[in-house]
Amino acid sequence: MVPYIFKRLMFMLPILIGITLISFFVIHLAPGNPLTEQLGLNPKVSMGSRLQLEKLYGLNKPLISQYINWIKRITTLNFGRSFTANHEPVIKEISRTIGITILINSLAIIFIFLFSIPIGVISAVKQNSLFDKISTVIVFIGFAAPTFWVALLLIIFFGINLHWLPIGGITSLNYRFLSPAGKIINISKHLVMPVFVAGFGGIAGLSRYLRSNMLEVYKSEYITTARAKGLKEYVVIYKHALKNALIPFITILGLSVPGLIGGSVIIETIFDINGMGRLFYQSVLARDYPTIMGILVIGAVLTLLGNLIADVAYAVVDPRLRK
Amino acid sequence: MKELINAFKKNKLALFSLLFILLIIAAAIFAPFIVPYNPDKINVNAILLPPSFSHWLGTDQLGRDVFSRLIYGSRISIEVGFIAVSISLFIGVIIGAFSGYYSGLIDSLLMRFVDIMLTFPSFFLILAISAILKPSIINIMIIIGLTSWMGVARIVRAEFIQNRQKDYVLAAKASGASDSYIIFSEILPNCIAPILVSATLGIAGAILIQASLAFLGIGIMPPTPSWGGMLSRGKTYIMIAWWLTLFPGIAILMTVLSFNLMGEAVRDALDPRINNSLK
Repeated sequence: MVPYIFKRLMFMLPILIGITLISFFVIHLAPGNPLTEQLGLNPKVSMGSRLQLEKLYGLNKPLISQYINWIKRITTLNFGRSFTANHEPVIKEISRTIGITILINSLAIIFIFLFSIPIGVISAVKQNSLFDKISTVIVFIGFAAPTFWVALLLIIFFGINLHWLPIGGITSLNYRFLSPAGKIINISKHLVMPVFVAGFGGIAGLSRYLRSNMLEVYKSEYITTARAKGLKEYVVIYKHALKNALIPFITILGLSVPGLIGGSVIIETIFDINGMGRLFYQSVLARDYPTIMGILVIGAVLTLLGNLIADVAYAVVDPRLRK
Repeated sequence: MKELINAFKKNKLALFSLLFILLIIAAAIFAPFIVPYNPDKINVNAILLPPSFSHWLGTDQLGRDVFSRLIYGSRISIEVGFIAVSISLFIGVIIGAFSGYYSGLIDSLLMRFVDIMLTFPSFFLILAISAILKPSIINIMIIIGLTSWMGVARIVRAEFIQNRQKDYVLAAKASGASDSYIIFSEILPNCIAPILVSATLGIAGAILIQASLAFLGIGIMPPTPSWGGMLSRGKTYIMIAWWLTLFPGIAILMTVLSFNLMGEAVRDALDPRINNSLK
């Protein structure tokens, strides 16, 4: 197992370098340099001190050595300071906001798992039944509905009309005065809609995927054998078929991580959640390049981590891979 | 082609999707002849009216007719869908074809590049680039194209690997045909089916991404009507004017759904594996 994980990590190294190269390249498409953003057209800044600052930032060096310097800095998680008024270090901004983003996306993955597996299994086992047909329709609508629209409809229905769920933020105004249990309930209530919106597209895709996997597995000989042995149908379904159908499913789940992280921009903006996605959106509007670059790299690293977890899970389920 | 026509004859849902897509394209082209009102005309006497006989889908905060704006909004979505996908097909086909045809070092390098591009949350990459370039609608199309070719590349590569050693390719090689002739005139025509499928699904994806960007206020200059932009404005009046949220969303949903269903139908019709399993 350990050599396998090590091999996967080694495989990720060139990808990690590629990520930093592309992020660096993308940001250097930007007109001007960090100095014009920070100093602007301030007449008090003389040409001499401008050159001095350029030297300090290494902007007078060739691009390749700028890249190497930047890499050296980001290995210590130093992404520079944000261009916003308070000039906070980017890593501080990210660490303040990344927790809630990871929490929502992890909950969304659990939510996807909990629902797509039974939906996929039942629609495969009872192929062409009413359940299968209805779930197929819902799946296709789930694919096509824009997340922000679904979020708005939920806000109108559950938030405004029914008053069941809060429509923004992650805590209520009276949060400070609640008991510990009340606090958990309060946060959970706030997270219901964001997690649902983050996950429903994934449920659509993955249940569909699992359904066709199950149908494929059903045709294989060991399923016929298992039935011929006289095993009960649920043993055949859950022990033999599902276990094999789940193997490629895990990879797809790992591949959906970048989509989930990208989606947090929309979800956090609509539900007014102070997470990394909304921070990214605000940085994009403010053209805050250090923050954009930092989140771009962190987002890609999160995806790599998601893929690594999927790879490891894959190896746990499929012993053939561990060799 | 015959399989395609047959498939659409049998599959009612696919036929309906095709008709809906044609309808939307017609609406985009003939918008000025369809709309009952000028989509940009501000009318202070008709602010936030609910749906009625004179305004089928109601009016917005400036008294503009929502139905007319929806019809005009289809222009942006359709343009973005087709142009962004043309760009992503162009890049994806070239990278996939070279990767699959030459294999070896070129293949590994190109495929690592694909892996890297897939590692970025694509919506982050799109937002980052649109923060740097001027976020005009043309740039949005280019950015979506530049960040969505990876799937096409993988599919085309797989097709090329399958075809590379086939007799017709070996015969062309033996007769001294150049590599570029074999790639583009011999092998590529045999990969049209999967490319068509991913193009159809790609259009749906591009429309969704553009709508999301417009919702975030990126890429659309008001008063140009776009579905995502209408939802973005409508959000402000969500408490009092549900029609501003409901109808543009339905327009996006139906359009994307139609492209997805059509893509699926084309895949089912052209994929020999599925055909055999049905027989």
